[in-house]
Amino acid sequence: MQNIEFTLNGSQIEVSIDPRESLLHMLRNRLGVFGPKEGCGKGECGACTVLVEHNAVNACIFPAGKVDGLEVVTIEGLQQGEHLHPIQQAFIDTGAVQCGFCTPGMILSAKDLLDHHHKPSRQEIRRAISGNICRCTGYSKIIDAIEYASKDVSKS
Amino acid sequence: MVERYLKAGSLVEAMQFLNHYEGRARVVAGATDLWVGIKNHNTKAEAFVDITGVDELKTVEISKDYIRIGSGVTFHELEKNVQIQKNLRALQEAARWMGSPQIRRMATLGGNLVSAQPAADGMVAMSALDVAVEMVGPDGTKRRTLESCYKTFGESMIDSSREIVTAFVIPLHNQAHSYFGRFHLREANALPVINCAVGAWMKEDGSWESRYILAPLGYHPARLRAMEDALAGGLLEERELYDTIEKHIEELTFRTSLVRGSAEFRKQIAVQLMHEQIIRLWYNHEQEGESDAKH
Repeated sequence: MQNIEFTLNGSQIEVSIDPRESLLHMLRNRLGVFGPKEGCGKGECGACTVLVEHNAVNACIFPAGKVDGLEVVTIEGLQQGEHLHPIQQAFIDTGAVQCGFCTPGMILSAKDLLDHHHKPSRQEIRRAISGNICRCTGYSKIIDAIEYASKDVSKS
Repeated sequence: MVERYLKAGSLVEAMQFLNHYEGRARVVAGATDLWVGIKNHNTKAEAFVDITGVDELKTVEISKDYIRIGSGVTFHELEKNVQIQKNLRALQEAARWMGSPQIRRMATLGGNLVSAQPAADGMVAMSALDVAVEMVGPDGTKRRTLESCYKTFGESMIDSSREIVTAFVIPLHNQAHSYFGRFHLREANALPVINCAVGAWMKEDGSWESRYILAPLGYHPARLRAMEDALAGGLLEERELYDTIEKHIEELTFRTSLVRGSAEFRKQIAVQLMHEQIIRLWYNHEQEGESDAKH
């Protein structure tokens, strides 16, 4: 076991890890952060997506040891007090959530996109969430939500 | 039993870690291939040496004669880099289609070689670019050809317990052009049914050199040398070009794969893809007033 320190959703964390462990395993099983989901477990479905240094990555194949000294944001870190992040709010307002399993990953992939590109086209949105699989919605509402959120995010 | 996950801050420190463990440590870069395996299987390594924080591996340098791409440059960075877009189109196009947005944020060009997957998009593109691979190990620095870095399926000649790939050096040849094509069944995270890269440049004596690459056909991207010779005589009419490509690809052995499709289907896709990329390559030359270009 080995101790690492990193920033999780704005708080400094120290945790003991197995050097072979994934970031997803550490978040869910050691820290009780259940927003990132385990779907395929091999980087193909995007349900485990989190932000590391503001970039969307697959936590299931991201070595936990790699985040030592870095900043990690999960879906739990987006809400400011009682205010949902504009992307979260847009998902609600446009009906983009069905079972919800893919939603945290979708929202964080959208955040990566909107943080780097304030007015994406629908094609750019489709591409940005191409690493996130949803089996309920058919994607259209999700794309609507991100497009809708982009207006709020660009205003702020 | 893995004892430590070590993050190196410099190349010197990374080599010190590897030397300390005397072959019992393993280099980790983006980990997108490695960590799928590590989670499911035991590893003999006693430590991991993470090199993604090594700044000197993350640069793209351009000089008059070459581009030097650090092994730690991610596929996202490759896709967005202006110099790569301008000078190494095949690599930029390959980077665009590799994995998914999340994978492209993590995966590095060096890892794409070391994991030695036969149709790794980055290495298929690199095979069309006359690249030299630079690495550092116990005996100092050395350069190898890309093809010589492959050992067998999924295994490279690079000893990840003692060596680190540091960079890919691509000469900036006169009138160089390159393109990449890929056939796949969905937008992201789809194995290529076939991928293909082409490159051409003018040699010092004024003649042209070409590379035509297809994958997966064996344990590394396959260079179609016989077709290079056959097309060296100059531009052909489109039908004649198609027939020449078809004839050469017909002679190759494709495997039927549950994931990639039947051998016959893949062969037909290969002909089509190669034809499209060669047309791009030749047409581009013509556009620049080089209708006498020889390939």
